[in-house]
Formats: sequence, structure tokens, C-alpha cells
Amino acid sequence: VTLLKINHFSAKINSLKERLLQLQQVVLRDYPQLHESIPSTDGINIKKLGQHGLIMTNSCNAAQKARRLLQHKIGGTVFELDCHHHLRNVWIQGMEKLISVYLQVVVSDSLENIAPELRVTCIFLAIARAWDIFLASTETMGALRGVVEGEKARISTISCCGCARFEA
Amino acid sequence: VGVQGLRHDLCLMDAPTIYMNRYVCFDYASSVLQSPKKQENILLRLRCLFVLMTSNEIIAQLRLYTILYISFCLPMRWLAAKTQELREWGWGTISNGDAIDTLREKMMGIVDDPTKVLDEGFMMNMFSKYIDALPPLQEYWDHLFKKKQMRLIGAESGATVLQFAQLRKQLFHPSDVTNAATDERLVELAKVAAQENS
Repeated sequence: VTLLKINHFSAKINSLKERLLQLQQVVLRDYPQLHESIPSTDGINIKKLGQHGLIMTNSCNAAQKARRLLQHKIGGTVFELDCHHHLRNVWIQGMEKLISVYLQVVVSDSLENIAPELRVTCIFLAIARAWDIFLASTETMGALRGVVEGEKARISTISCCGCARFEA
Repeated sequence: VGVQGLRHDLCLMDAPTIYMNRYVCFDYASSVLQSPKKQENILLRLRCLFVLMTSNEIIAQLRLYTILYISFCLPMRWLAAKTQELREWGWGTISNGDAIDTLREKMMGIVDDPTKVLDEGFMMNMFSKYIDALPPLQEYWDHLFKKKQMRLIGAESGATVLQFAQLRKQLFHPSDVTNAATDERLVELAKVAAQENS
């Protein structure tokens, strides 16, 4: 699979080269005066990445292997880098799991006293999903507006994510 | 929240909304629970949310995630997303590694003294050296906490609030008694969270 991905990457670059070539032919046929403005396909070459290029992937094993293979295929000086969006998310995932497990232990006695059909859990992803479903209902949204209006909007809403459906 | 895979920061993104809006939702939930017409599945979900959102531990968890969201997730996401535009200030792809080192260093500080999580100065200045060095980040930061506004729902006058500034105040200096009561648990959870990174 990794090798396939590497070959796919090279094929993608070649297909772009091919498209540009076809564009050149069409322009030469229909608009010969503009032909000079189409860049040459000679400049499109994966080997150019070997001149201090950079390959960035996520940090999973398969991606790292693909990165190494691609680096080997390109040759020259190619830098490797982990995606920083991914790194941030990896830490958040680990932290969320750790805290959920920790809280599950801390409140285990209380959880035993809660009816199991309520599906009360400390796993934050499940809480967020339940909350999202709750807010996603049109009926809830209409009613919430009514509640807020009735209470003179004592609480503002945060519109930083998709969950804030009742933002102004 | 339906989006999963690599977007684990959705957990942090969800937390501020729930933290700030839960009282409004309580009011609605209690009216539904008292209503004679109830659907069993909605009732179960509401009761579940009611239990969760009145729990000190869950509120502490929400508060921690919200603090982490505004203190580290937002600036790190901005840095990773805007790297290509920061060449002028000597910031490149490799520089992001320094941000990871800074985060680790700060998390080690929290492991040593978990009460730092309640210190607004410490948490909100985690990435101050980048904010000072990168004018676009400074501009984003100012926009977020000094300019970004939203209109209050239900306010006929069209009154607006600085929602992130208000959120920040509720996190580090909560006026709400329930939020303030989570300090002890928050410190405990912050240590657990920081240990993951240190």
C-alpha cells in the first residue's frame, strides 16, 4: 500500500505534466499567439524536490515509511517533517483519553448509582456528541431562543465551532 | 463532533460552547423534562446531559479543555496554518518544532506546579515569545480578545459582547459559583493532562 502511495504521488505529478502538454497543444492549435505564455513542462520534475525540498506527512508508521521511500526515490537533499496539525491533535487525543479514564476511576462509585440506561459516561467525545445532537434539533434551537429571550440573554454564546448553532 | 480521524481538537473546540451555554440549556431541559409530552429517546438524552452538566468533575473537564483551547490550541493551529505566510519574520516550517518544545516546557511546568493552570498570566502567555515576534499573530491575538464580537441572542437592542474576552474571564476569574468550585478538580486534571505531554 505504501509503495502504491509513492507511485501514485509520482503519477500525479506526471499527470499534471501531461495536462500542461495537452494545454500547450490546444493553445497552439486555437490561439497560436498565446502559445509562448504557456510554461514549459520541462520544469515539472519530482527530482526538483531533491534540491532542499521538504516532505511533510503525519506521524503514523505508514506515512513515515512512505516519506522515507519517497525521499529515497527523489534523491538529493530532502527534508522530512511531521505535520504540526497532526502533532497537536495526537497530543490532544492522548490527553483526552487519559483524562476520561482518570475521571472514570474517580467517579466510579457515583456512576454505579446512576441508571445504566442513561448512558452517563466521562468520555468527553461521547458527551460532546450527545450535546451536539441535542443542539442540532430544530425544536431545541427554537426553544432555546425562547428561553434566552425570556431571560434577557444573561449568557452569551461562543461561536468558535460547529456546535455553536445558536450563535447570532 | 461527527468528524473524527485526525481532528481530535474538536473536543477542545466543543468545550467552550458547552461551558458557556450550559445554563441556558438547563432551563430548556428542565422545561422539557416537566412537560407531559415527552419522547422517550429525548428524555433519556436530556437526563443524561442533565447529570453530566451538573457534575463538578465534568465542569472541571470542560474548564480545562477550554483553557487549553484558548491558551495553546488556537495559537498552535494558527502557527501551523499560517507558516507559509510568515517568511518575512523568519518563521518557517522547521520553526514549528520550537512551538512544540515550548509547549512541552510549559507542560512540565504544570506537572511541577499544577496550580499554574489557574494562573491567567502563565497560561495565556505560553506562546508570548511568538506573539511578540510575529506581528500577524499579535494582530490575530488582539482581534480574538479585544475586537472579536458577537451579538447577544435575544437582545433587542443589538448589544454585542467580546465573547472570547468574556470566556477568558469566566475561566480564570469565574463569577459563577459552580465554575469557581471546580478549581481543586481542575488542578488535579491539569496535572494528568500535562503528564501526557511532558
